[in-house]
Amino acid sequence: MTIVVELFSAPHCRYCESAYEQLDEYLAGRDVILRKLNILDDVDRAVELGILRSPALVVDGELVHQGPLGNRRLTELFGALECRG
Amino acid sequence: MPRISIGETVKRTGLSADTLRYYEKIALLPRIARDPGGRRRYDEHDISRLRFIQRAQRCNFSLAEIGQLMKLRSTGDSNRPQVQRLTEQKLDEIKTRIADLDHLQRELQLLLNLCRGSDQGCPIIEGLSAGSTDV
Repeated sequence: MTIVVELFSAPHCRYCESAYEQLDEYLAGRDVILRKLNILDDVDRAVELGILRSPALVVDGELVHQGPLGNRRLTELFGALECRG
Repeated sequence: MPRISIGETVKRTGLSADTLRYYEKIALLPRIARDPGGRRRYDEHDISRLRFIQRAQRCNFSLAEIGQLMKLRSTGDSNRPQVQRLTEQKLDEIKTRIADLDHLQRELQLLLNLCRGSDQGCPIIEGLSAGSTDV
């Protein structure tokens, strides 16, 4: 089943670009739709999701992470990397 | 003859003399008795009305609504449904206001955090320009 992963970023955010690149790489080949959103374009939704800082990660409409993103956290969230030949 | 001066009423209620005169002018208070010199003289019933107005204002009732409540107050139990309706409406307004303020608080906290977490710019102004803060 396809999961929707949304990365909420902000202008001048220190960790947002690298978080997006990590996610893009980590989730490549999986049944995932990855979107990058600017918090300022949708402040109301960001607030309703409970976002308090960037980057913020929302999976299938649920806020699962806020702040810098490391490999350990990615593994916790999405499981270990599958061997891709 | 009532014998509480306007100065004493100011002391007892914390309201200003101008406010007391204004309440009388807009008929929130009945016409206050005057002494032979034309000075206002309040009685305990007036003080009680003023305390009622202050409490109602703290509960976020407008002066117009307080006027309605005072009329209902003076006519007794038969207006209970009307008082309940007015109070329920006020309670709904307060709940909506609290929800709006809660949303605004979280939005401002988010914008402040984004500003603090940035090396270069501060996106608060951009965030406010995004048009979502019309609470």
